[in-house]
Amino acid sequence: MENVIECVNLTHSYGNKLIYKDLNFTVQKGKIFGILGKNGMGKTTTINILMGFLRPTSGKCIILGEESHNLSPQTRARIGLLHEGHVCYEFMTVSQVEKFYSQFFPNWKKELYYGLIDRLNVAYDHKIARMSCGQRSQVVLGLIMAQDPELMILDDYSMGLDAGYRMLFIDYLIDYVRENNKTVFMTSHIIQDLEKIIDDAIIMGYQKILLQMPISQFMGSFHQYHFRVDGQLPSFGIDELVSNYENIKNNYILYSFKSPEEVKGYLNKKGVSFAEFGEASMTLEQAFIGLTGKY
Amino acid sequence: MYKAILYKEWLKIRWMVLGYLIILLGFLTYIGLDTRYWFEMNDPIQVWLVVIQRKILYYTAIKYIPVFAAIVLAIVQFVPEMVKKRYRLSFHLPIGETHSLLFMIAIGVAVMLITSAIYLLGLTLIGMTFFPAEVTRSSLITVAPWLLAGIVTYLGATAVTVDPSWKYRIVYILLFAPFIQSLFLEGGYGEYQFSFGTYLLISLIFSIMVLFPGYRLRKGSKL
Repeated sequence: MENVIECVNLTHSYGNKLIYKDLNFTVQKGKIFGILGKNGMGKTTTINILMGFLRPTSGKCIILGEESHNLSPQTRARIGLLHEGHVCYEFMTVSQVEKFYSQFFPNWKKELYYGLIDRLNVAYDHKIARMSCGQRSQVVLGLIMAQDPELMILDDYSMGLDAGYRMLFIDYLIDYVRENNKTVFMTSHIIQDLEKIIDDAIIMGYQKILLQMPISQFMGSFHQYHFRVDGQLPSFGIDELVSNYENIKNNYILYSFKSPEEVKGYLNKKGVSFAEFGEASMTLEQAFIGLTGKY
Repeated sequence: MYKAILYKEWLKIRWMVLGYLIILLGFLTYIGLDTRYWFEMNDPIQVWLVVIQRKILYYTAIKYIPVFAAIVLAIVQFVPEMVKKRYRLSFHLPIGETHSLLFMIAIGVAVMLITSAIYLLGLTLIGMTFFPAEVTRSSLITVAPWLLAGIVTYLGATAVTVDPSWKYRIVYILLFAPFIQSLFLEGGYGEYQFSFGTYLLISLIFSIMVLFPGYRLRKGSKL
């Protein structure tokens, strides 16, 4: 399948501070791709590199066949960007901003923009600066949809949105993307929302990618085990079997990609005396925290 | 596409431009009325002595207005682009970033040029009403550096507003301020008559400099 985004050996640092080294990932056409990571792991840096606002220290990102920091105007027209905080020209009104953008894109779909705006019950001469964050998010989404881009890059679309507007945003986005076979690269700090949207994800850890796989595969293969330890409390290293663990007194929660039998075998091999071993189901958010840790 | 950028810039600056035009015409009217008052209240020879012999310029009221207007114009035009990093919206438009920035600056320069032309026209009318052609011609040569200072100030204020780093902003201020100040050193009529060409040439070099902060912004430079 055709790759819309291809990042090869991406390395970036701010001065002496290394953000990450040799990141490699691809985004296939027609997929909704999520980038998950805790604060400071380099999500925004990656988005900035993809958007062409930051030149990586080394390595490169190819977007629609061109290097991200040197995109031609023609390729930029094929990419819709949603900036963190739903940045737009707030000094314009609802109709002025549409009039402005429509002159740049030949496939402009005015009806998609006004279809979304009409749901907000705001006048077309309403100034964007006087809108709530939620209303502004719909204006920005409407503009991106009207642009009819092949690739949408959405940087933390959920920032500042209440539950209602988040759902509205997601519902519209999913409907539009699936119907029009668009590719989406997105981040959000509300991971539970991404569970029902994204196909593939990368989870970023400290200076590296912890994993890249389809989200269904991750949720199907990553497990949360709980057990009680009798006797001396063990400590575990983070290795191929143990992705993470935590304990409150003698109650342990262990995260692993391995099967229950393999984990039990591991515990037995370490001489851990355990009881009440079981597996709990997880949401994507719990799995994410399980993999990356709470701190 | 350029029409769309013109539309955006116009939405930002229209009230400022309108306000500036009102102030500008107000000052020109004031200069006209004030000059007429001189002639009505004083003996014409007396006026001539003050204006010519004592080198009292009858239009100094407008001296610094282009500079102040230029600063306000640059702020009105570029601060909305910088707040919340909105310049990224412009940089993602399907148009060359340099072309886009240059066009935005060209719109600001055009405003300064048009208003400068109104100044010159106004002073010509006032001069021709009350004074011989030589005085009028001389007044135009005298105000030309002030108007040029307005344009250079606009470029400098744009560079300061657009650059993401305070360090570079201070560098621009240190470069632009002495040059702008040097355009206000006249002590009488037409003193820049023979050096104005050189000043114009230096101003062109300053105009190229304004692209540098735009380039730094595009590349994500913060230092």
